[in-house]
Amino acid sequence: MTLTSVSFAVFVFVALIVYYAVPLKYRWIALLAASMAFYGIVCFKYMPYILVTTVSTFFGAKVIERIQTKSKAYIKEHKKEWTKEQKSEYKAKVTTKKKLVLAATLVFNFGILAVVKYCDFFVDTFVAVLKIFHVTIESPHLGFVLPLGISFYTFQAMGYIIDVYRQKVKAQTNLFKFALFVSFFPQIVQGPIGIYDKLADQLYEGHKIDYDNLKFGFQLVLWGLAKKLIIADRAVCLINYVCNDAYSFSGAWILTAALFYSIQLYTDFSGGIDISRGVARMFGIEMAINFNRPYFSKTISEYWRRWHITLGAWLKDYLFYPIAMSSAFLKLGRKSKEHLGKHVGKILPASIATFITFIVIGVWHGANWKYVAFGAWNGLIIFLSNMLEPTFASINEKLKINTEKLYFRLFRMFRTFLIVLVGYYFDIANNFSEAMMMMWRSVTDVNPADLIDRGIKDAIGLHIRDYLIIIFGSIFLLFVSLYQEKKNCIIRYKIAQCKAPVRWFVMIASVMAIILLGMYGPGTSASEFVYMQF
Amino acid sequence: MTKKQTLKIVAFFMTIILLVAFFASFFNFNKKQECVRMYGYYAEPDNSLDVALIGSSEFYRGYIAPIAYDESGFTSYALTLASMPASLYLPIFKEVSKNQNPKMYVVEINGVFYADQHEDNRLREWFDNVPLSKEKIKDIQDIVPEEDRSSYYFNFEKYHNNWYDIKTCVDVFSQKRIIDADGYSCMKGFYAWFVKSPAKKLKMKSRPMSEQGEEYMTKFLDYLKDNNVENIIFVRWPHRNKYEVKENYETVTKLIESYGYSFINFGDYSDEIGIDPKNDYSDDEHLNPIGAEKMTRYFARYMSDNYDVKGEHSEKVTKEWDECTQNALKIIDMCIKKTEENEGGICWRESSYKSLLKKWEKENAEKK
Repeated sequence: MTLTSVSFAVFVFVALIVYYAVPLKYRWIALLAASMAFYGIVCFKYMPYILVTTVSTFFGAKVIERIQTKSKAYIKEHKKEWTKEQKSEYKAKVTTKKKLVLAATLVFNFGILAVVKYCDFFVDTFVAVLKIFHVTIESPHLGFVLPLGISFYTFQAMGYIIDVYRQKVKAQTNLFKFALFVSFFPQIVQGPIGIYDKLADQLYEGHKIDYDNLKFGFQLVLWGLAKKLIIADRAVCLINYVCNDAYSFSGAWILTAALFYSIQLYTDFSGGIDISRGVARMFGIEMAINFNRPYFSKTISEYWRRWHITLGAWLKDYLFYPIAMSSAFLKLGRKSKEHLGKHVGKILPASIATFITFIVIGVWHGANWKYVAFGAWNGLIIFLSNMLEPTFASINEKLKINTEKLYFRLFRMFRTFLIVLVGYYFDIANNFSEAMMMMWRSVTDVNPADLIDRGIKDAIGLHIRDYLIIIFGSIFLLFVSLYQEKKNCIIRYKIAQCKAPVRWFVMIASVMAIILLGMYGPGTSASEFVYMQF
Repeated sequence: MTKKQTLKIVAFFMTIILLVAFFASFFNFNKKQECVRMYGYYAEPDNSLDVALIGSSEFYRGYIAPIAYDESGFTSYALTLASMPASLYLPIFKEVSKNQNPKMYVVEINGVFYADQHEDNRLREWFDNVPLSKEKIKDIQDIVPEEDRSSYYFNFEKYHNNWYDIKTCVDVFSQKRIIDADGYSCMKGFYAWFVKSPAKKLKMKSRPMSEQGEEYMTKFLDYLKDNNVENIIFVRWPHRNKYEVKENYETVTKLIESYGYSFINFGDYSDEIGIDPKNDYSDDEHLNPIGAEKMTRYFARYMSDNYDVKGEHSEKVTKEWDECTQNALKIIDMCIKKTEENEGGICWRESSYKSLLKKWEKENAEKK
C-alpha cells in the first residue's frame, strides 16, 4: 500500500469516516488505530521495531522527567540548608543521571537503526580493511530489511526525548498517545520529521470536520500525486535504464540522467510529502513544511534550508548546536581566533560542526561510501564558502558586481544547482568509483547526437509524448514555483478566491490530469518513493 | 460542515466518477478489432443465434456468418479472438449460454496448442470486453495470475494512457456507434485481408497440444459432460495443406472423442470444399475472403445436412438478418475482387464495409 495506490486512498477514506464518526475526545484513538493498522498492513512483521522504540523512548522520557521533578523537589526541600557548592554538586549528579538515561535511550534506539541499516556496511568496510593487511575473509551479509520509516520515526522519537531532557516539553504520560506521535501514518513513510511540541497536541486534540481542511488537504494530495505520478515516475524510467549500467553510456546520456534525477528526486520527495501533509490536513493536522522551492537557492547553505527542511532542522537542533556549543569547540574557536585571525576564529568551529553534520546527513541517506562522499561534498562546499566569504566579497567589490542584480542572482542559483547536481551523482551511481566515472564522462564525453540513438530511446520505454510531459510538467512546476516565490503565497488559497466555475474547472482538470497522465497500472514501471529507502 | 458543502463534495465526486466512466469506455481497448467484434456480438438480440462459434483467428478470417445464413438459413456469430487460448473456451461458452440458446456450438481447437494459456494480451481480449458479472469475477480468479487481477476487474488502470493512441480510440468508439445505430454488426466480426499469399517455403510446423492446453481442454470437456451438453462439435478449420502435422491434433481428437464428442478436421476436406492452396489463403494459417466464402458455404451445408440448426426467429430478427445478408453478399463480392487483384489491406471496420458497399452500388449504377 504505497501513498499513490488506490488501496491507500480507500484506507484514508475509511480512516476519515471513522475519525469524524467517533466523539471528539476519542478521535486520537481512531488516529492511533489507523496508524497501527497502516503499519500492520504494510509491514506487520516489523511492528516490534516501532513498538520497541515507542516503549523505550516513552519510559526513558518518563524516567528523565521523574529525575528532574524529584531533584527539583529535593533542591527546594534543602534550599536553605545547602551551600551553593553543595547545590551545584547535587545538580551535576542529577545531570549525570539524566544524561545516562538519555544516552542509554539514544544508544539503544540509534543502535537498532545502526544494526538494521548499517551492519552490512560496517562489516564490508571491516572486511575491506582486513584485505589491505592481506587477510581475506568472506563478507557475512546479514541482510537486514529496513522496517518502514525507521529513520524517520527514530529521529522523531529521539528528538522528543532530547526535548524532555532539555525540559522544552513535558514527558507524555499516556503510552498510547506517545505511540500515536511516533507512528502517525501519513508521515511514517518518509516524513516530514515532526517536532513534539508542534505536532503532538494537534494529534491528541480532536478536530471537528471542516470543509476547508478537507478541501485544502485534498488539493495538496492532488498536487503531490501530480508531481509523483505524472513527472517523477516517468523520469525514473530513463534514470534507471542509464544508471543500472552507467559504464555503457556516454556522457550525454549520463548527464541527461542526472538532470532527470534532479527533477525526479524533487517531484518524488516533495510530491510524497505533499500527499502526507494533505492527508494530515484532512484530519485537521498541520504538518511541518519540508520543501521551500530548493532549486531557487543562491547558496548551498540556503539549499539545505529549503530542502528536507525538517531533517535539517532536526540535525541543527540536536546535532549541530550540541557540537558547535560544546566546550571543545568553544575552545577551538578561542584558539583559532588567537592564531588564525578573527574571521577564521569565528567561522572555523561552526564550519567543522557543519561538516560533521553533513557527514551524518550523508550517512543517514544510506549505508554506502557514496553517501559519505555526498555528505562530505556538501559539507566541504559550505565549509569553503564560509571560510572564503570575505574573499568573495572583496572580489565582488573589486569587479563592481552588484550582487542584488537579477543576472547575478540567476548566476548564483545556477551555480548552486550545479553543486547540487554533482552531489546527485553520488545518489544515482551504484558506488563511489562509478560516481566519479559518471562525473568525468559528463564533462568529457558530451555529444548531444548520442541522445538520438533510437535503440536506447526505445529500450528506455518512454515515448516522445512522455518526454514532452516531463518537460512541460517541469515548466509548469517552475512557473508555479516562481509565482509562489515572487508572491510568497499559497496557490490553493489563491484558487479558493476565484469564481466557482474556475475553481471547479481547476479541481476537475487536476484530478483528470492525474488519472489520464499518471504512470500507474500494469505495464508501467512506477517506483516506490525514493526517500522510503532512507 | 454545512449541508451545501456536503452536497458540493458529493457533486464533485459524482462528476469525477462520470468522467472516469466515460474515459474508461472510450479508452478501453486492447486490440481494436477484437473489441468491435465482441461489441457486435452483444448487439445480437437475446436467443437469436442458431450456431455459436468459439475459437481463434481461423474463424474470424475464415467464416462469414451472413454467407452461412444465405446458404443454409441459420443465424450465427463467431465469438472469436486472436490466438485464443483453450483457457477461454469455458468462460466464453458460459457467457454465450447466458443470453443465447444456440442449437449448436462449434469450437475450433487451435487454442490447445498454445503453451502459455495465461498470456496477458490474450486473456484481456476477452475479459476487457465482457460486462462485469459474478461469472466474470470467478473466471478471472480461475485463470488470471493473482498479481494481475485488479486491472482485469477495472481495466481503466491499464488503459488510462490509451490517449497515446487517440486515433484508434476514436476509431473504435465510432465503430461501436455505427453498430449502435444499425442495431447489429454488418459483417458479424469478419476480418477481411485482401491478400493471396502463395507459400514460398512450406514448413512442417510441429506444435503438439500443450500441457496447459490439455488441462484447460479437459476442464472444458468435464464441464460439458457434467452439464449434459450435447449440442457441440469440435473442428479444425483448413490450413494450408502441407502445413499441418496430423499427429499434432490426433491427441486432441482422442481426448475429445473420449468424452463422446465429434471432431471434424475440415482440412481433410479441402479438395471437396474447393480450396485452392495457392489462391485461397492469406497466409499459412488463415483463409482469405475467397477461401472464407467457399469454406463458409461448405460448412453451412454440412451443418444443415447433419444437424438441426435452423431455428425460428422473430420477424425483427429475420428482417435484420435478411438485410444484413443482402449487404454482406455485395461486400463479399467486393472483397473477393480485391483479393483476386491481390490488393492488400485489411478490412474489419463497420464503416469500411459500409464504404465498400457504397462503392459497389456506385459501380453498379455506372454500369447500368
